[in-house]
Amino acid sequence: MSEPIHRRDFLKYSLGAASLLALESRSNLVTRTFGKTATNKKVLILGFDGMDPHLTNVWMSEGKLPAFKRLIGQGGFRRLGTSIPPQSPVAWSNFIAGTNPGGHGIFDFIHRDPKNYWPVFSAALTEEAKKTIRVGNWVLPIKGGEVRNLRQGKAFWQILEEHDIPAAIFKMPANYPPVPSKQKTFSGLGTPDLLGNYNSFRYYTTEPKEIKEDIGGGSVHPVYVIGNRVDSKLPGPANTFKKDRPEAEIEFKVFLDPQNPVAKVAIQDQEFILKEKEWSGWKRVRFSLIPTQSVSGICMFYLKEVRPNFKLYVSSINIDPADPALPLSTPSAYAAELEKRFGPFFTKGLPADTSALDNDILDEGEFLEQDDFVLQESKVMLDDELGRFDSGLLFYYISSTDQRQHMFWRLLDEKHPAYDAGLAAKYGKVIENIYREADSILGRAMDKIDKDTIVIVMSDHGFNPFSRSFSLNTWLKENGYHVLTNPFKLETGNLFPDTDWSRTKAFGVGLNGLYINQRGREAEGIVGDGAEKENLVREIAKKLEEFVDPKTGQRVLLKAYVAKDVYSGPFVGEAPDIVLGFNRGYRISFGSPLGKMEKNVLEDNKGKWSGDHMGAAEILTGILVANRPILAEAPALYDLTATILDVFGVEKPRDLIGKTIF
Amino acid sequence: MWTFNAAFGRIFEIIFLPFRQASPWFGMILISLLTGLLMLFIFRHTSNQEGIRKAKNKIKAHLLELRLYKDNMRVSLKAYGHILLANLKYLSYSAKPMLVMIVPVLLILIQLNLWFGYRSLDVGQEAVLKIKLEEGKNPFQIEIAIEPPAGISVETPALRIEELREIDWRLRALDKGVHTITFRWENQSFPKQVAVEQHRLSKISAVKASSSFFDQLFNPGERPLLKKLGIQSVEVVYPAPGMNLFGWHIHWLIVFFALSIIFGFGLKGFFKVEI
Amino acid sequence: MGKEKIKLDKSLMDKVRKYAEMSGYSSVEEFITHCLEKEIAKIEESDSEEEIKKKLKGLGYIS
Repeated sequence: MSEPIHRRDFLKYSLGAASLLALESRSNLVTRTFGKTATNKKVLILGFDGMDPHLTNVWMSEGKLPAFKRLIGQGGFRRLGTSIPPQSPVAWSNFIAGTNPGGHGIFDFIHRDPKNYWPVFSAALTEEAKKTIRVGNWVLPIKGGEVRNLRQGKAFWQILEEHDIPAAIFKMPANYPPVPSKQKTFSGLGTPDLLGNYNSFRYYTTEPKEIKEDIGGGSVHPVYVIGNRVDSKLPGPANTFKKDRPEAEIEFKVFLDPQNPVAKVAIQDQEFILKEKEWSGWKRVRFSLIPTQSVSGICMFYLKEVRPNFKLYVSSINIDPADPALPLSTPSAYAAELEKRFGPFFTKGLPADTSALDNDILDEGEFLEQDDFVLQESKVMLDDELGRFDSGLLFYYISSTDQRQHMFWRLLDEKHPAYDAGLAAKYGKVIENIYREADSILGRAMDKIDKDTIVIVMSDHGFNPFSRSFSLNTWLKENGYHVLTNPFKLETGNLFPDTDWSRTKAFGVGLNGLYINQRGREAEGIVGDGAEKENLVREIAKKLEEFVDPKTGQRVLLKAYVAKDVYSGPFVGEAPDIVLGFNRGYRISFGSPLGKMEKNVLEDNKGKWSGDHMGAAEILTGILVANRPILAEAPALYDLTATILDVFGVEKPRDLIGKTIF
Repeated sequence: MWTFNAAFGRIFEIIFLPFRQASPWFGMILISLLTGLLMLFIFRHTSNQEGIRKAKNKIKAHLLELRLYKDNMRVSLKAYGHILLANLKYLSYSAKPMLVMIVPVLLILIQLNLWFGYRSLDVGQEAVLKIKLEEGKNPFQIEIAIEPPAGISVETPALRIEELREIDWRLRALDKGVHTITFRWENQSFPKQVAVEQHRLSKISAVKASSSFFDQLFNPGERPLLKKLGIQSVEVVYPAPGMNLFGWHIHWLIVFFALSIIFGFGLKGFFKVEI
Repeated sequence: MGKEKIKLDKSLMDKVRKYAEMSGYSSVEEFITHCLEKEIAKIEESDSEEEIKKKLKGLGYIS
């Protein structure tokens, strides 16, 4: 010890320490809302997917929807014109872009690839790294791949941003990946799980035989209980870093108590205990791909049964918002910010596991328990967003209204082929209850906002029963427009395996789409453009509209819309040539959208997926409620876009087709 | 052993007392500084300082030789040989202080694990409570009753796993505080503490261990279990916090070693220690 | 176009020469290129077919 410590040196050391501490708080920084000071106007929009005007009216008149009644008392209620066809990605895109599908290019959940007639997702395209190098068994990307949102046109929050008006857009459907913006946005319907799928539950059971073999939206894994232990694997995303792209997977063990109905799951470095019929809440799992690369996901475990048969359900692995492997939000750090505030939450576009209910993996009660988690999360997050809402626009989306109507319509409607009196006694009010839940969400929001805030409640389409299914491709075959290589074949698999394209004039892909096999457009097209095609389109459309269901005596389709009659804008050429508008009670069959032919054109729908909205736009309008008088007589989705711009004093761009409703 | 653990643990409680409510970085920086100083002290007093200095000078000299005679193969090779020898000598001089240092550093690490290794439970959070039996014991031959205090609920029946010699329960934290769960078995009873929503820098004993020497050495946070119980450990599985730097989570051990080495090297000139 | 050499078994190479000539290819390279392209297309197709089915099937509207 010779020299005393210099004062300056001491300062230097302590500064070092302080800056180290300052570093720690970095991740607490909150991303600033864009353009804070630009407006004192506030607009709150609540989007309840699939809320039906008729049902709303019925339950409102019975006094079951007090908040709706209160809001209507301050303004008005209208049926809201939906899109052709009334599918969510199409309808919400009408709202986002302020156009009809000809302006935004989304015509259906599923489009066809003209190169091979195959179905493709309409909303987003994942392009893998084009340049890769191979090192032994590894495939390393030199340039990263990308995910692209295929919706065209500007989103209204992008227009608002140009005028410095802040907007927070929460779980807007058809916005995956979220379009570039400085606004706070979080993607919604269309967002895949970590595997890139719409849904992929896992079901581990010692009794795999009781499940159908080919199930959609998940997989069944046979397991054995050996020494009170179950060993299995949780499959993850395809490992694109490896040759042959094997699935990444995580091993896990489940330890069972030999007497008590309780088990411990040990996966990666975590352990948790579940009683029979208990949900685990969110668990984080990490799949390692190569030594320096791993992806993080979140999933829920449900211990359905310990004995006599072991049954464990694991939900789709959602993209982890704390460390998103795929883009979920703008700014990109917003997802992690939300995770920090609320913990893990559902990021998959449609979080409810309708596939598991449809395939008897989860029963009605279990399905609802999980969807209640979705609702609960949404409510907490909405409350918080409302607390932060001080300027501009806030859009918030709820999916449960749509999902529960799809699955429980059969118990609301005694005439439905899948009606079950026993189940109806227990679950007959599920749809009514979700409307009342929507009402309470609205009520809480109304209590939280000030009186100057404009409140708009909307849905993208209504709902009706799905009692009879129509196989478009089978109909086309029976009417001679679609020809098989083997004319005696009664049914085919997916993706048109038996089609003789050299003699086929038309085919169906997607939930409402019919395409002409046009020369120069489709891979093996035979119908010439111009009069030849025009006559064919009119002929098929007429026949479709005249087609009557022999069982009911009703027309199957109210409308067969000819694309160029109903669409306008730069992308009309990409539309299906005819868009089916079904009559009430009818919908496309489950197989036809993927290029399959069922044996019969018409069949009863005995599935749990029993309510739907693929009909003519005229009979499937959504709802519009606002706390300002609505002057428009027949407002439509794109009119709301014009309304938003008008409220904030932004001039409407020329390609937007709507008019303000106020 | 418990008396030593309690007393040694007390020192850390006093050192950390002023920093308990602050970010754990403050406590970490202080303890790394103290450890760095301790390491310097040990090095200075147990190493051959003169020998180290000579060895280092020799290395420098031969490095110079290498540069000056880089075209002369013979001289270069010889210089390489000398550098190697001096290096070995240098290493042998520092071996002794390293060996001496292991003991106190290990004891410090064990204590620090109580402070930085675990995060207390949040109210509402669940955790696994795990009893591990000694070799040869079977969880089905033992009926242990568990009595949770008001701030903790036990949500599941006992889960007995023979192959792991384990009995597990799921706890849920209901209230803030350091709670004591009581286990009863035949006429015996013993406590286990559970920490809920403590300060960010808090001493948390995850494991209550058996009274064997090594178990006690590595788990100094709670009074050991009585030998005759046949229980190896009782553990509450707490979340591991990690330390946050630029938004990255880093294990506290890495932070600790990095900081104490930085402090040690930074201050070696000041204390005239040759390393 | 870059050139890469590959090794083929002699007896296989003889067959390749023979059939390339018989099927009217202008060169052995052209024949091999054509075969490989055909095989690769097959693999790529079946991969994406599986992928399409897996991805689309999670959508409740179809099965």
